Amino acid sequence: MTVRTVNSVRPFGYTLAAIGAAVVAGLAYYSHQEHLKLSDATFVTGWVLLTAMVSLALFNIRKRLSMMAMGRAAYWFALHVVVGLFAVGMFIVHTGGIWATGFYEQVMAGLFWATALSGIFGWLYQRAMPRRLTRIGYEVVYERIPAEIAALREEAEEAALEGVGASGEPTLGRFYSETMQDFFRRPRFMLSHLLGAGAAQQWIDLRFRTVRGLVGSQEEPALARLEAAARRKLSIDAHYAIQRSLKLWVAVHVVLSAAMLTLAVWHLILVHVYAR
Amino acid sequence: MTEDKNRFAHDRSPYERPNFPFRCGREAAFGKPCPRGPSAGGDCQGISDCTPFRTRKVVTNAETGEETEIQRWECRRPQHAGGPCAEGPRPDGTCSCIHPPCAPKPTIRRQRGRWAMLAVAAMVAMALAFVGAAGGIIGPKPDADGILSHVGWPSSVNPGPLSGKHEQFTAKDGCISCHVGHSDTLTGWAGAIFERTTISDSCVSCHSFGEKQADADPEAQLPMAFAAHNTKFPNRTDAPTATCTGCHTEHKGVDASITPMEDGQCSACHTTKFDSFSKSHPKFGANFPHESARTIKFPHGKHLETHFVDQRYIDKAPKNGCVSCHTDQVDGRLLPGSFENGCAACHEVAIKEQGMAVFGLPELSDPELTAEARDSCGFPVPQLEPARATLEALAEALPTMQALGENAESGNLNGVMSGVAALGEAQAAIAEAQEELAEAVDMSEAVSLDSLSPIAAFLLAVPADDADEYSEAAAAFLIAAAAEGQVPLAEAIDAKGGDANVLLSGLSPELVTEVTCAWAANTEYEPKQDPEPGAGWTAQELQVSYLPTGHADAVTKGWIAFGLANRGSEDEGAEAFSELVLSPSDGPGRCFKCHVAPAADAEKQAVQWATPRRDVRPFTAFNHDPHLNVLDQGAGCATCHRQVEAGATLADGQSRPEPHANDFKPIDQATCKDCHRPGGVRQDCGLCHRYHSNPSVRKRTM
Repeated sequence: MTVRTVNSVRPFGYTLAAIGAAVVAGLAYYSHQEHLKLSDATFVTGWVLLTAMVSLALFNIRKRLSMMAMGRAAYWFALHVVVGLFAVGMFIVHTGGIWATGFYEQVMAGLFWATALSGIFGWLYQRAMPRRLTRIGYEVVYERIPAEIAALREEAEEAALEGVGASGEPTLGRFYSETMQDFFRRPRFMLSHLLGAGAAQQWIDLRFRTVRGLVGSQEEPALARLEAAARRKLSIDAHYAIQRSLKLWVAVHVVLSAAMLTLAVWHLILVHVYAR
Repeated sequence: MTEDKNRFAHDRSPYERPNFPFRCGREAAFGKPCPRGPSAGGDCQGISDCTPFRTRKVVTNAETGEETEIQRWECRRPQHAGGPCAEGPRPDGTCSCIHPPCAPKPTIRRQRGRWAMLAVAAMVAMALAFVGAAGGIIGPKPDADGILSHVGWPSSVNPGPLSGKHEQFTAKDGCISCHVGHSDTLTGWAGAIFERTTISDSCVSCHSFGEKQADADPEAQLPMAFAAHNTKFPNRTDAPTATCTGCHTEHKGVDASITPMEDGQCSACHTTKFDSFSKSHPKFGANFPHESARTIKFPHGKHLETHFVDQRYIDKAPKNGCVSCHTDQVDGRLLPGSFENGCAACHEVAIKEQGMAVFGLPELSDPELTAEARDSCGFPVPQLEPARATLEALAEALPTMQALGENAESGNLNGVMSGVAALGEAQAAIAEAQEELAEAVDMSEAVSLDSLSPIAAFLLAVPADDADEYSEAAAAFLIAAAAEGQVPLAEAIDAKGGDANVLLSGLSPELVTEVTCAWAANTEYEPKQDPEPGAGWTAQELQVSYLPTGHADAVTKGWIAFGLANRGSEDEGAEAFSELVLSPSDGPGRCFKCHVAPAADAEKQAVQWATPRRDVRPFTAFNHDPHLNVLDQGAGCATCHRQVEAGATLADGQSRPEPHANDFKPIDQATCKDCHRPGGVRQDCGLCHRYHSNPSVRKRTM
């Protein structure tokens, strides 16, 4: 059995991109020729643009129909990216520029560019973030992260109690309650994880280096267990920060798309009332 | 701590999927989630660990064989939550592991859907709210005068501000000024989606091309092909049908220009295509820009080289070169000024002197033919003064004769003697008066030996040179004129299709009567004073003439039009009449010394008196102003307009054109290319050519 890798999508994407670029160039040429012939190609280019935008929106529906055999998501995503870039080209061809003069058209143009830029950003973001997630060396489903954090919190509390019980000293207990408890309560260092910085790592290193000099040999196993839990928490926090940003980006992209498509339909109605 | 790879096995972790709409409220706070999670509707299901299941089991008594159904509640807590609990369900079937409920939270996906719906609703609301002039909540409302103060108002219909003049023009009626689809009612508005209309129809309700000037000046009427470039040319069925919006795209801002055209747009229809003016523009015409005949003959060379240097006229010569006469700027062209401001200084007097004899007393075969006219004339007629003297002598003699008779009856000899003497004197006076009267009314020898004038011959439809033929008609005409003034002349003109009101404008009936009465008496008419140049209708001796009152005299123009109308006519005398009236050597025809007469075979026999203010090349626009500023100060206009030397031939080998055509060399395209070239002055089509001919606006804004 042949196992197709992600790389097998690239030729597909490049082919699509070439076709899309050719279509944009062809329509741009057609539009200019119509302009020279004192005719108007904006109805043609407008309908092509609207078709492209609607097909882009259908990508979201395809994700909902995951039970149907409609091809790999990677191909669909490649198609989505190429059609999205095609739509940007068509927008310029259709409007003859990048901005509008009227209020509602400015809103629509703003929404288009916000959607397009968020899409381009998301495309690049989606190419970068999975590598970061892989480098973390730990996998977790976003929806399970709260439960994972809760489990780690229990693990950490048990380790602290174990250390106190083993030595009779409150050092590890106080360390947990005064320093680490808040860390385990919820994801921390979101921005640092998002940017790939090491602030969280340094914070953990510093705290445990400090407390390691204060604990005895009986507390060492418990401290090691607590530190392991803290370091696992760092990985989960990084997952949480990155996966959440990906989801929020999609949310922003979808909301902008919905608003833009609504105005596009309004625009479609208006041009058929007024512009012909 | 090592990662437990199997920790998400179905029996160790709950079923979690990204598309769940809600998540556990405790989980949302990063607490330990309940094993069951919220329902799809967002209700907490974590109050109990499970929903116990009632089992039914039929037990058969081995002894009696009786079957008994046993029902039990079984714990259904999932394995990942610890499996069935030790307590088991309560007898009533409820779970014994009860927990406080949580408030499930929507997932990001759920929130995303809500925000998307909200965005859709917001856009719809915005679209409806800002419909503005179309009846929305927010937007411009007409004031008491019905004016929309909508500049700057946001609108969900208006795709952008109109250009300045259109913005004002649409202030009152709004969108419907141009868009017929715009309706006050929602159904009408929605129905417009399916009705195909064209905005061009709205445009031409205000904009016109060519018609306006044609209405005002019929002589300037141009062919339809010139009037509307934007319509399909009849001989170019392959050319696209243009619409206004094909070139003029509105709603691009108050200051936006909606008129520019690209060179490529011209090439779309024009079969001769070229890259740029300097590179491959078609050559100008052989005599460009003087291809068409002028309406005024003005030999520049003769004036410049002969008249303006003649010491007799040098004080009247223009002092500032070409612009002394070319004073009128029309569409960038420098047209000659009016006659009064230029030519009149030299030519005014000559015009007033170019009289035309309209009719006169011809030699009649029988002078007595006019006797009837004498009956109409009555007294006082200057020529009949001798008759009046005779009557006066008789009247004076009557008392003398009466006294002589009374003296004879009474026997008064002295009285008789003196009466006889007085009677002798009276008889002598009467005899003298009789002699003078006989001499005055002597018709034996005609006073006129002229033949009938061509004008009269044409109007009376008789041969001009045969007295036997025309005498009766001419006499009848004179008899009628003596009685009715100019009426018979007007009737004759009307009968020939002329407009007597114009042709005889200013001719008094008294003058006609006096003249014809004089002629009826076989005498010459003697005016009270000699006619001055420009006097209008005059009579002297045997002729009634017209002296033009000045330039552009209506009567003179009327006679020329009358002559042109009968040019080529087969009517009796028409040819001689036309030749007389149109002859450039004398009479009205002298107008053609400067004005161009229509060719004999021309379809339209009319003189184009005025220089067309509209360019005969309606799609070419040359603006002299910017050129005058950059011309070589020494050469001036002659940089482009170079005179043809006497005896020279034109570039195409033709001889020097007709004096009235032009005496300038064609403009050399290379002269233009000195500046209009890449890196120099712009050279696009729109710089010199216009798409519309004589555009005008029917409606005006405030």
